[in-house]
Amino acid sequence: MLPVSYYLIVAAIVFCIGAYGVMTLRSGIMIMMCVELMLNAANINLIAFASHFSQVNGHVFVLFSIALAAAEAAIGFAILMSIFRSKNNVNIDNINILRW
Amino acid sequence: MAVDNIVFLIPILPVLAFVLTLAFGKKLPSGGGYIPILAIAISCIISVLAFLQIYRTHIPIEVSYPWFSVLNVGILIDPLASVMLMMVTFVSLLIHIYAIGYMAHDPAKPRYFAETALFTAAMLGVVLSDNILQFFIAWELVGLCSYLLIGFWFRKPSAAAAGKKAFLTTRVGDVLFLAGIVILFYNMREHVLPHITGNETVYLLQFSTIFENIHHIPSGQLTIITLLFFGGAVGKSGQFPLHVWLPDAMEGPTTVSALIHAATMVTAGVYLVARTFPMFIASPGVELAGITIPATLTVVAYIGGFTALFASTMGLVMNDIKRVLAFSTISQLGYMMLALGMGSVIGVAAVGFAMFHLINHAFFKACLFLCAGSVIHSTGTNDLREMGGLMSKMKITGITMLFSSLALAGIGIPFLKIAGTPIGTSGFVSKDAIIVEGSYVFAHMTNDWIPFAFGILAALLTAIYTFRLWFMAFTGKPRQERHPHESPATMTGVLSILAVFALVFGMLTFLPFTDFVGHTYDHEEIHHLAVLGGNHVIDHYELHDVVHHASPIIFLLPVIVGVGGLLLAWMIYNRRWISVASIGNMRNPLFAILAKRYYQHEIFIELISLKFTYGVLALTSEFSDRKIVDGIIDGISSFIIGGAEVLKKIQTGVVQNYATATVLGVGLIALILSFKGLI
Amino acid sequence: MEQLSGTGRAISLLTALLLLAALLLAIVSVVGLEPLVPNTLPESVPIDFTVWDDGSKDASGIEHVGGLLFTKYVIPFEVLALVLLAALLGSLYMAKKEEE
Repeated sequence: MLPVSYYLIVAAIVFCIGAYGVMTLRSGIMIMMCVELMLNAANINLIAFASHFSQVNGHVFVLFSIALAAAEAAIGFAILMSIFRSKNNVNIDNINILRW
Repeated sequence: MAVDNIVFLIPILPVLAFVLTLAFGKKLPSGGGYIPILAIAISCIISVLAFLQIYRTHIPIEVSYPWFSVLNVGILIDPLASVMLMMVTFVSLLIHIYAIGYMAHDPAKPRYFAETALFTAAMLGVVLSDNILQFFIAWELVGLCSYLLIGFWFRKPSAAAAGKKAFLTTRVGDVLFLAGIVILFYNMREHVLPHITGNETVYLLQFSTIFENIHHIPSGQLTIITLLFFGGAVGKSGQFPLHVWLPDAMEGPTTVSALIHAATMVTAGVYLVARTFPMFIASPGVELAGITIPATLTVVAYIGGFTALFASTMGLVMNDIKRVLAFSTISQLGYMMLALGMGSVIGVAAVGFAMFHLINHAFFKACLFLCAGSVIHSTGTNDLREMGGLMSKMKITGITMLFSSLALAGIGIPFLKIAGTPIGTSGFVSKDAIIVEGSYVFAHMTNDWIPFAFGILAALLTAIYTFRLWFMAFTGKPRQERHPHESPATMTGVLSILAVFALVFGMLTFLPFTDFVGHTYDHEEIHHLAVLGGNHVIDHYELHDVVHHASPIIFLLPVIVGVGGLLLAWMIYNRRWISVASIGNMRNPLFAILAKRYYQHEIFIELISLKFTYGVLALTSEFSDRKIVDGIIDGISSFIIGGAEVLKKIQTGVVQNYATATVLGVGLIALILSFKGLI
Repeated sequence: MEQLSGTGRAISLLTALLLLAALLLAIVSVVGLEPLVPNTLPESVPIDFTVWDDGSKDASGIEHVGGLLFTKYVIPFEVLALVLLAALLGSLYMAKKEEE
């Protein structure tokens, strides 16, 4: 049996890759993908512990997490569609400035 | 009939007169001058009643109202205060009457009378105070009124400058006085308050409380306190070195000079020392930080004697009639301080002698000033060289001035005593008392002949300049361009009254006066206090003994110098046997020093004020304030602004930067928590 | 992929690495690298593998997931359905083509 920490380390690496992507990427779609990455990293974590301790609670929680991720992705892409309609690209440089 | 209930009116009535004259003076005849006259006349009557009551019962009048918890407002009339009260009200009344005539042509009469009324009220406040703080408050008010009155013709630049100079110079003294009060209060709280038992309220700064508890105050502190009080007296009474304001103060009207600088304000300093005499006599010499400070009364005597001599030398060469009298005032005040200083040997009798000379001086000096005013009024000039031969036209003025000059020079008959009183002008009686029964006894007992020498030399010079004045003004050839006339009756009447007083008051009241004033400090054990101060005070019998056994030359000396001075002045200025021009020109170095008043203007103003205080202290302070203090403040603020400019850059507005910051924060928290978990 | 400027990328990389380091540290310090003994939690839902009709065992535990989902976690399940409904409606509305 693999030590559970290996799975956790993988999850951590995936999470950090996703975080890096959110912080640096310019395209809106790419940022959505990185958000999904982060969510899935958390799911990996949950499943690793659930399997390790032979619990089913973890699996159930992961199901909920996946469903919510899907809902959030749907809404996110809907927003991106609206942006694309007005600016004809999904470059978030123009809309990420929080001043005047 | 107790006068106690109405003594509060004595200072209040002149204050009311001040307010009324200020408000209604313009509409009344004589500029509202009759209101202060009426008020002061009533105050005079009440003062006489108070004096009579005290003379009969020997119980001082004390009225006291609580103010703060340790301070009160009160009136104390003991023998010392009662004689001073009578003199102040009487002389002030006479001068007000004189001023009706003298200021008749002045448009600002209401302001004049209001200010002199206020001045009289303040001086009465000084005399009547029963605690030192109230004394100081009234003292300051007196200084203010003196400023207002000296600068009465304020549109003249020299008068405004003179008023300012007077106020600032006396202010130096006042600061010292206030410092003395503060130290006294501190000592009273530290050392006396623990000893106060009982339920009744005790006011720490009341004179009675202070005098009862002098033995509790450490002697070094007492010397410092009394020296500071004397500093205040030096300022107010024009002793060296704070005498510079008095000659300049002659810029005011002559009646002001008579009231303030002859009779009342300048005597406040002498009154202060007399009032706090138990403290002065109990102050020994101390060693402070390696410097030996002599006993206060010694300092008083020396400064007084020195001033007497110093001022009389300067009075010899003045050409302005009022300036001669101003220096004469400074000199006579020096005599009074000298008399008080003799208290280290003769005890309370010193107070009697000093006050006696003060009152006599008030009469003859006021008369001299008012005569000078009469002369100025009629000839229109102040300069002695422009006057001459006025005797023929101004008989009354001439004769009254002659009597007062005889009093000032101290002319009298020695050795002759009818029923115990000496025969002579009042100035003779009082000055003789100071020189013989004061400084000679002092010299005999302590072998210190310097005060005696000061007294005799100053008497000689006094006689010379007094009669120089009289001869130059009233004898000789009349000038053609001046048309002198005798002054109106209001003025000459006052002159006559004062001249009579100057002549006979001394003779009539010498013995009872010194006795009466000596009773002021009956309650305090002066001998005990004197021992505290390291003084060996001789009692009455020993005093008479020493005087009785003095060689006759001592008695003759004051009269010799007095008559000698008169003759010298007669020879030079009347007969012109010695030409004035040969000795009185600027080529004579002695004359030059005196005429330039010992270069005091140059020393005080040019050197000390401009070069040192302004150039060094003021400019350095201004520089350090601007560069250093402001530099620090501006530095701090610019540092903060600079820091803000740098920190501002974190707020970029780009959302992803904020996301970065969030992730950074989370990472740091996770690090810290995992480290904590490790540890 | 378009990304932020160089400075931004560097800082984001550093931040992500910091986060990775923190997570790894946490994992190593708490869980350790050796295999953990399974089933050490006190209250665990014991998994008994479902036996199919042909005798094979199903180790996925999906039957238990379904059981939990409709008994213990039924309320979150229903709420999740509502959330999905809301997301559906929202994204539909936002992404709809505007009528001319």
